[in-house]
Amino acid sequence: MKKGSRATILIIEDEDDIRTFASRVLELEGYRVLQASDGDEGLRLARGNQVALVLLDLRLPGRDGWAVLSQMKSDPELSSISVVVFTASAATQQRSQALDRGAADYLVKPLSANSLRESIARILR
Amino acid sequence: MAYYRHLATEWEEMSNKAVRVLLIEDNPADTRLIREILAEDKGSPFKLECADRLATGLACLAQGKIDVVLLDLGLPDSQGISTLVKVQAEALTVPVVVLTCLDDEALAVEAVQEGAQDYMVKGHVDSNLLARSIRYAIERKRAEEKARQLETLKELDQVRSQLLANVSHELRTPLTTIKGYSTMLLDYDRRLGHDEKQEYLSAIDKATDRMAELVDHLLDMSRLEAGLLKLDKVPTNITALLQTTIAEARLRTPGHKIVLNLPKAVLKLNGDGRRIRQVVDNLIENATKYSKPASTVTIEARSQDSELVISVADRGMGIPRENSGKVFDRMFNLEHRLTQEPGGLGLGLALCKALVEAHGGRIWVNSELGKGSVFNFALPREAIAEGEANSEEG
Repeated sequence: MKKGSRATILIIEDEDDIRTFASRVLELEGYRVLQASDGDEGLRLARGNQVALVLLDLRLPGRDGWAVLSQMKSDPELSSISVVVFTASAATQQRSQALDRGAADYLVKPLSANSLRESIARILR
Repeated sequence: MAYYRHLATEWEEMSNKAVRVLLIEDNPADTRLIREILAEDKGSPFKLECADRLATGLACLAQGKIDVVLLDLGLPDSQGISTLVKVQAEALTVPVVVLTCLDDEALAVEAVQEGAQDYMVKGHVDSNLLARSIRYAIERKRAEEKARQLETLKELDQVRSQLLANVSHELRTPLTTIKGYSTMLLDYDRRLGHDEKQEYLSAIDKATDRMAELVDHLLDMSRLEAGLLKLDKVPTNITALLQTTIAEARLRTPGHKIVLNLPKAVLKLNGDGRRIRQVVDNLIENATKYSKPASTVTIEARSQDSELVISVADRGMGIPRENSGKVFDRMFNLEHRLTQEPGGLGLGLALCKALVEAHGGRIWVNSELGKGSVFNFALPREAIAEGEANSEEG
């Protein structure tokens, strides 16, 4: 296992299958994984758990991914955490909007295990 | 597209034929005068029909062969502005020119505000004036209609783009499961246990079912829109249909308690069993989706007068009163789908409504916020011979 792979990743995703997929791949890559199925739970887990990166779905029940992103970027305790958006919307406008608002990467569903792995590794390097 | 064709045909018809005028006027002297004035006109010919009562005029309008109405507001069987309202209710797209007496000009102005295209004061009518007013009324009404049809087209366009956005999102979700799990199985084959692999394969299997269902819904909706969805109506045993449906629903959603209440007598009707089942399935799916696992979903069926009523009750979140009339509306569902969990195309209830109505039935919801919803649909029970019903659905 590479050095630094023990970083903690928080996955905020409401679809069970997709959350399981992402968390299992990242576990197999040696990361520590936390899971949340909505924005509020995600923000709670983001604190005090030494989270290095958040994998964030945009379309969530209640507080959506956009709100979570801006909340994280405006909170001094959370603003240093890298946020990778993971969404079903391929619109370029949304992509640049997400990057403008501080997302480290913008991944479009569907996604292979390899693409997920590489994006995360590149950001945490 | 149908709108464009419709418009084009109307244009052709209008430019080739005589203008068909319906005069609704009870005073024979005024009728004679108008007839003479129109006969004098040197422009395109007018074809005049006369009615001396509103009822006769409305009957004539109902045949749909009138281009413009000349309307006296004071008739034996109707007076004032309500005369105009009744004419508009019968033929919304036909322009109206109101005929008025000199001391009634205020009423005439009110009529124009209510949607009449023009008004003329009796005794001040000459050939030029009347012919011009009639042609302007027709043109103005046509412009209004075109604007209205454009508005409808725009709405239709909005429905389409919203639907497309939802479809692409809804297809991407199961696709993500399939792509994710299959690449994971390929990449980590040796590191995954047998049970875990089985779990992922089964999730892939379910995701493909979900995609197939989405495609079916889309096709049904477009067939319905094009009027191509045909019902296969045969004598159907609804009791057996519900028993099978509920047995399968219990397997699909083991978390919920699904209760079926049926009367002792076997329920039968003439209908398309596959489609009726689709409606019941959809309602049960919604009921389980919008209520907590372990809560109860109750399906009931009963004969009531000449109808067979089936209801699906949940103890879920309920529907706000202001929305309970709109849940069957396609655009409403499409728009709200974007901000609402859980997944779905937003077509389910619109499709249910269309399928029930294709059977000559009706669908409605009773709901209380925080307590739950009861979706009901009633199908007419056409007479079928005893013992003729199939034991299984179509």
